Amino acid sequence: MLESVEISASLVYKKAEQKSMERKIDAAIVKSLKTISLSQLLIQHSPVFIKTYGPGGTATASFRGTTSSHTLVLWNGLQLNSPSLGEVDFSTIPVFFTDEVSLQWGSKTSANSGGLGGVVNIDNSQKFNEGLILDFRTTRGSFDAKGLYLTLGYSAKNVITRVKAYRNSSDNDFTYTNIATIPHQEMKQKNADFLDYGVMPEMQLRLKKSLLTFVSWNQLSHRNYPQIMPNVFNNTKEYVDNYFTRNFLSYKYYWNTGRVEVKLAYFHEKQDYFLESYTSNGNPVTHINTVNVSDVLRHLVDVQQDLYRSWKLYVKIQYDHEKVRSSNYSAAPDATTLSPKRKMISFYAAVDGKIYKDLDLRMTLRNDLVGRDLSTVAYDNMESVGFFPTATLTYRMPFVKGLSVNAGYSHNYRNPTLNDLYWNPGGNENLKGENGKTVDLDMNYHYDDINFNLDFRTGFYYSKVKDWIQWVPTNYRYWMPKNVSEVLARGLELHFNANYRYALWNFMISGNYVYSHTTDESEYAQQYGTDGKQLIYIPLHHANAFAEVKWKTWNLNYTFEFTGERNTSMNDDEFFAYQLPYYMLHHISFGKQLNKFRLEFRVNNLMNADYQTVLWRAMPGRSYEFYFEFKL
Amino acid sequence: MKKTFFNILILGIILALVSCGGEEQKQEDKNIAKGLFILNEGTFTYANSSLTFYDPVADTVENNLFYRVNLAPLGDVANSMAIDENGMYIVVNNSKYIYKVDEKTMKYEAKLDGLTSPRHIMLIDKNKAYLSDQESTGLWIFNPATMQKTGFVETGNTTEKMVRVGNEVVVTNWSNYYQPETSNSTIQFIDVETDKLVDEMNVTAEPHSIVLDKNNNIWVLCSGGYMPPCEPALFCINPATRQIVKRFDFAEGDYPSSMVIDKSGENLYILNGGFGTMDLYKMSVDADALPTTALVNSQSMVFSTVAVSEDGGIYLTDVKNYVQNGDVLRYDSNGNLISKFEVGIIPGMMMFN
Repeated sequence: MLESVEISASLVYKKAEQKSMERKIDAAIVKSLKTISLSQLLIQHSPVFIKTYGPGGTATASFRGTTSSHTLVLWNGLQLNSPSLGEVDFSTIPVFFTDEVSLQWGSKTSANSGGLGGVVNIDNSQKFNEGLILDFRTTRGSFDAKGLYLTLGYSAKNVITRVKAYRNSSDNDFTYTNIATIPHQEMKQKNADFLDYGVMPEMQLRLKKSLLTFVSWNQLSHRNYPQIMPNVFNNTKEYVDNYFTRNFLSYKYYWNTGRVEVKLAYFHEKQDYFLESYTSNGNPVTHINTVNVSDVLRHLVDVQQDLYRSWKLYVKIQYDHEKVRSSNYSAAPDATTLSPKRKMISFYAAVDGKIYKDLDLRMTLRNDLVGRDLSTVAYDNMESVGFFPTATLTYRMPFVKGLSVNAGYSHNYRNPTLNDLYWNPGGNENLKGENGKTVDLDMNYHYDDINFNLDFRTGFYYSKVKDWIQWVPTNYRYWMPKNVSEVLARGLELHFNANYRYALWNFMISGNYVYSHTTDESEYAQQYGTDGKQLIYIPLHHANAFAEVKWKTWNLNYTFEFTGERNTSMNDDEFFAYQLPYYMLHHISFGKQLNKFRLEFRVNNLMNADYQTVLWRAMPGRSYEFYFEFKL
Repeated sequence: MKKTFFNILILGIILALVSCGGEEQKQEDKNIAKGLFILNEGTFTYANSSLTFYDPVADTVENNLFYRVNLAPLGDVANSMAIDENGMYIVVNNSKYIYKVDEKTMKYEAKLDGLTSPRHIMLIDKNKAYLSDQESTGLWIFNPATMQKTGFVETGNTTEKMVRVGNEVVVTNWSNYYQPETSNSTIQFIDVETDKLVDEMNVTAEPHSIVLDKNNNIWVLCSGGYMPPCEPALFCINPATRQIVKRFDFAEGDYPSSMVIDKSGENLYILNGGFGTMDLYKMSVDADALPTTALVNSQSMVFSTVAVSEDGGIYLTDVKNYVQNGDVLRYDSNGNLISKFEVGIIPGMMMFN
């Protein structure tokens, strides 16, 4: 938040340090894609793999070959992951509500538990002294998709007030070929419409040496879930109603050699998941009607102090309190719902600085205490989960300008989710946290001249997660989560970004390629012969690329996505339902700036590819969208 | 450098645009011999159910039979099969339909949908069949020749497995999960002439399997419930008098999950145990106690269902860890392993044609 007031004495050092184990999504891209969801942004512009159930459907992330619950999402530095599920649905995060999106991995995830794969940061920021803020965007697209996005505010010398509000909906009744019916037939997608509303008031106040920030993120959505392709003739109703309010308050105080920031957050979320079918006489049978209410309080004190020369000290103390009330935790349908609670205290310290001319070192250590309880008053004793160290070395090659190499080691853990602990039936209160160790090797190259710049990054990772939680069959007909797996995730990431300016032309290209090989090597897997097999829904290869040509006020953009084959079971068989084929998508957009107005025409899935991201979930073919923007 | 860079980019884009993956699959022609069908449930909501055929004479296995012949998935959670002169019927529970296929070629012929949670078929004659349902309270009546629904027998409880005794069908009321007000510890008698419920009897919770023996008694296996404490038991019932002839209680912690009877109606084959300890027991219908020694020890395999051939050969499905292809193990009548073959995910019902 508002880094402009930060002391810039060690700017050169800071720039290099920022680049290790983290990457910001290009600000211009984030700005131009405000009307899409974070899931789409990450699919097209990051190495994070997103498993999406289709437009309006759940979209979860897999970072560096791990699963959705290993991708930590931090909003202004505080964890958004649901205490009951452990994951974040990226389709519910509009890029519109963020100003900066960045990714962190390896030792950079060490300040929090949970991010065994990596961290997606979404932050709000606004510059002071910019005057009236008025920004209106609207989209109209195929399948009656409508979006309205309004930002209104004022940025004075020392005060900013800003309100963002949006409405987004689509009937999602696209036509697709249902290859699960006999014969295959053209069909319209049914029961896939959604409607989202959101409002985000923000305020910032700059005092002499301090900064006060308040952001409130409020959202309401109704999403109907379509049936999988073989089940389209089922008379079934399925939807999710979701409401949340996320409130964030921060006070930052600066002095010459450091700063302190106190953050408080309160998140309240209510989700109703409903699934119903109908009997022979037309009476409804409710399969699922669960209400989950979660209340989360987060408190963080974050201190940064310059020590000696380039050396800095970072200290964080965080106290979190999570409570979930859910009908999934009750012992019987008519029993009182249970409200398990969990509190966590985390002590974190880090130092970084130069240990030699071009060699930087960063070391961190964290200790977490966790206590949880089902009853209303008393807690279990808080217990230490252990000490988690990380170390990163950064070497800036003196003989090649712009080239640096990072090597890191990190140790982290992830708490079991409240569903893992208390789900009825099956919840296992004896679960331990998952324990992950990662080794990273990164290389960054940056080249800059007047008309051309290039960023290139390649990274290798190797991580081992012990006590990985997996739901396994029991003696009875329900499953139970157990710490049975030992998962090895290793892979390679490539990223490049290049900009070239020539007269009135501007060219930009960027891309990501990820190779992720993730297997379970546990005794449990060996017992069933599944050791060494790629885990389901983690593609071995995925990639994306983006190219933009600008001429005066015109622009033409091209986006490419590639997702490799994905296992949907632990079989080697190439039977369609066991292994989804790879697919490629191409999107283009064409735009023109007219003073304060901007018009754009977008074509998604240009080649009308027929594909599935999740088994038997229909996906739209070619679709069109008009985009209009007025910005003061 | 810049030039090379952009050349590579353009090349990349062109390559991406021209390549369109995926080769066309061809429908296969089949002529099914005499043997064993194995219906693989697949993973719930993944619609990866599949059909396997095993020819015991040639010792050959054909997996994914339905998909290969029809180029469409069988559906989501295939539950049971039945066969008659009109063809073969496959009940797909979570897709809520019955597929009818030609019993020789496996080619799709017709579909019956609009069901709630279809489970098992009892063929009454060539124009009439009952279909049990885990959510609707009774039995659907349909015409297997035309694949049209013709009625519904309201019984007040959800229905599961059936057996025919003279003019009556006896059905188990296995689950009240979706109908909590109804019974899950009864069996019911339906008159096939009038399609009316005529009687019912109490057993213990979750009567699952039901078979008819050589003495015209019915045997009902109750798993006792899906969460402890359970009351697992085996009942022998005289269907004419509605009297319990014998009752055998299993030990606390046992989970008897499946039972069949051999062709002669003399021996019951019961799967009992826990996850990874589900052993096969053989019990004479004249016995006065439950067997204590297993005929086939699971040896940490995860047995799910059993089938017995006319010559006494035993087939057991091993579902492994439920997320990969299972196996079928073939034993002789003494429980000696003859062979083993891989089938689909969660092999369930087996049926000889």
